[in-house]
Amino acid sequence: MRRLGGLLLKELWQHGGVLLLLAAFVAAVQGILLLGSAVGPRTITMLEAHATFTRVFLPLLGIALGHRLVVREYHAHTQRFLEALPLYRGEVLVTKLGLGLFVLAGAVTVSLAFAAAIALVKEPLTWHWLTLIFVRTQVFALTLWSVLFTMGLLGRWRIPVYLAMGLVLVFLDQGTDFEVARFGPFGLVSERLILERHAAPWAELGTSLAIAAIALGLGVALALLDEGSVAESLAKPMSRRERVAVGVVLCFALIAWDVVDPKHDKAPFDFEGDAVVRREGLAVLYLDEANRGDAEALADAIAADLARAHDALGYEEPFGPVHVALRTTLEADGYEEVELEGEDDGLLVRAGFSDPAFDARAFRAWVLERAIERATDGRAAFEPNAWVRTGAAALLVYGDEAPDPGLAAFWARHRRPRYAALERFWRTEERFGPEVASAVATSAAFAFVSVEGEPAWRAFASEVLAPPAPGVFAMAGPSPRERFEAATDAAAFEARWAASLRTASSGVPRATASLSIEPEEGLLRSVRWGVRFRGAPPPDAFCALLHAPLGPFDEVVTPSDLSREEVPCAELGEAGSRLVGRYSAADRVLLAIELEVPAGRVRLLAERRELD
Amino acid sequence: MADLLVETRGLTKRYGKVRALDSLDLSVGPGEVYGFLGRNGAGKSTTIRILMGITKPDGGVVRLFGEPVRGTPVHLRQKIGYVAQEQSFYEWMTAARLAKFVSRFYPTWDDATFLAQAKAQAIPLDRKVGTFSGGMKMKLALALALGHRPPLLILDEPSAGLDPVARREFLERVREDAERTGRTTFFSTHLVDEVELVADRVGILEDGRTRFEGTVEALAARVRQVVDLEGEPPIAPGVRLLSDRVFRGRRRCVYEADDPAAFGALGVPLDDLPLEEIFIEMVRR
Repeated sequence: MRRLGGLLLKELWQHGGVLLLLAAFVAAVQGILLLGSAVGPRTITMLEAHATFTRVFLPLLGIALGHRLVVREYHAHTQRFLEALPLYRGEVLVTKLGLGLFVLAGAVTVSLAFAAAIALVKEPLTWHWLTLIFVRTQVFALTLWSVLFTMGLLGRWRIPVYLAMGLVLVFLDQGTDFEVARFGPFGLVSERLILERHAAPWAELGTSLAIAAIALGLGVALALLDEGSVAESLAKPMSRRERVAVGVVLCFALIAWDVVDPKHDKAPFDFEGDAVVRREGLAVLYLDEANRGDAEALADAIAADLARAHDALGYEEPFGPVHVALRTTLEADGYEEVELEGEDDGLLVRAGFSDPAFDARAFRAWVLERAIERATDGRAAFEPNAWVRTGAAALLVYGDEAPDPGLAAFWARHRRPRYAALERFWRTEERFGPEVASAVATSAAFAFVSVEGEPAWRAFASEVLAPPAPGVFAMAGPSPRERFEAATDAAAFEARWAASLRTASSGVPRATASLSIEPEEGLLRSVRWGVRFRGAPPPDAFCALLHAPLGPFDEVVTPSDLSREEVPCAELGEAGSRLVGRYSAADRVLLAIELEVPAGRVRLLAERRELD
Repeated sequence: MADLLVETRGLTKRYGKVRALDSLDLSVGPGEVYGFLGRNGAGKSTTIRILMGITKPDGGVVRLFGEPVRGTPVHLRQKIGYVAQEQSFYEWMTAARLAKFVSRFYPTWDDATFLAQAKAQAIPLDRKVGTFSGGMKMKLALALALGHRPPLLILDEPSAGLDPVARREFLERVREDAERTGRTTFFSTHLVDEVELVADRVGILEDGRTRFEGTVEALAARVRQVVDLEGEPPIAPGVRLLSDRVFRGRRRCVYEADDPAAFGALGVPLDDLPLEEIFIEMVRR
């Protein structure tokens, strides 16, 4: 013990000052992270500060420690001095390993303690949850230090090995189905680090400990192999020849990656089999001969829509390939977009177009919106532009036959029809539902045309929905509002639009929704919800609770992300309905109450809530 | 044999295809100052690294303090003072702090002894080691090696890199210490004058083998020369002709005999050689 104490004393003499500086740095970082979490509007829990510290700053601290404790000892050849003392090599290794682990484990422990102490003021922490976080971060620290310690023993080869490991991880993550973020130590500090309250990540823990054991084994072997001469020779500076060789290998690896990248060799997506109707840039899969007629009609209509849109919006490039697949299990108004990986794969959507209730024009407008989004590299989905996208698609599909603005009239009960409301497309969709948002945008586009005429609308829409020009900064040029104000007399537009909605009948009965959170056993929370009608509930109306857990960041929640608990409104009663067992205290959720009537689906209420 | 402090029998060590030690035998008795003489690359440092337990031998036997060892254990290394050929000290430490660090590893450490050594060698204890000259570092290494009063002192080419004055001072201090304390001292060198100055016994290493081991006097008596010989060099039982060369117009034949009495059978007048000449003739190929 006296010898270990001597070695430890030496390390503290040598690195004590730097360790104090690092401790001050870590404290400052942790303070900033905690402050950020405290004032951040999107903060779920104060433990986020601990998670960020563990993910970002712990590896930096580990690299600094590895350099100080291992690399410098060999680089300065002072390990020879230690070898000449009456010591076992293992004692030197144990001291360095132990000190490094103590510092890293101590740093994450202090980080967790501070974050938990502050979180305790407002958040329902449990010992079980904190223990899970503690174990996750301690095992992560052990694995991290085992790897960094061994990397330090690789001397001049550690940087190339770091680069190689990074390239392999990026290749695995992007070129294969392997999810690095869920693997072993990465999985331990993923977003589940602070969100998972109950289940222990046994697989990740096991993998991480195995990696730590392998890394430590390699490190010990390197340090002891051939009486330490291997580690000593690795510590020598890289020769010019070696530097050139590393550069060549790196270049070769990057070129090889570019060549073997599986995305390169993959043929663009297309339907297989004979049950496909093809038009220029379009394919419709109909599965069964009985659906061929519907598919051909739909293909003709969509092909015509795309051609009109191409001309109207002044696009030089054709739209990418559009694939429409029949999916009979979908409801008549339920469309799906499927993400395709390759740039040349085009658009793939699925719909139940063989359903007699299928509204082909609504679907065509929806498809056209997706095609415009792709053509504009997503800019059409930018919130202030989205209404123009939806309006343009509706105008192209419906032509002079304006669709019923009933749902927009429903919206106008709650909001004033002004341009500012159009800029909030996604917020309108979340609050009132996608059908309402679409109806609002469509009614606005028709109002615009009635005020300024179709050529003015085309000029405005083609400017807003222009594909990105090469070399032009995306945000350059006038803002969406400036474009709008240049294209129309805003006051005249808003007056015409408001008038059109005033005169329309919404077809939605007057009703109010209620929502409350009720405590259950332990941390469980139930959601009680109800809808109160003026008069008796319509017999054919359905009421539904829509809900979805929210991640740490506020993002758009698409309709497909929402779970749906549906009840005939007539059966809902005074007490309403309860959703039990899905959520617990401190969960962030989106809750919405939807009313489905023949006119469409409208949301009576929608809230993002952190459950108490 | 039991009271030998250092003994090796048939010691071998390979580095890949290179045979660094090839059945090396040597023995160092208590109180001896043993000069371990050999050309560069003869295996001196390898032998010392094996004695210090830094390197393990491939074969043969090592006995330290009468105890057979393989990879010298810590308790025996604590009884050895060691001065390496190159000093890899922590340059950010002062000499005093370095001594404090080293003292943790030797139960017999004596601050007074170290301070006396430091004072005698004018080592500035409050200065960082990184500012020391090569000679000063070597003096510090000797002071550290003697600070725990070891019964055995091993020095690996300690004077390499020192200027002549520093070298002489260093060797005199080693000799003085050995005479004053009776400490067994084993030092390696490729400089014969160091052996002449300091050593009681000498071992000559050639290609990893012991070429000679004995007193300096026995070494001097073992090799003789004949100058300006005419005709074929004479031969006699027990006498080997080491070389027959003409240098600066004079012919010189050098002979070696295990028993100096055997030289008489050559029947020619023989001269003594300087120790350095003897070493050169013995190890020159």
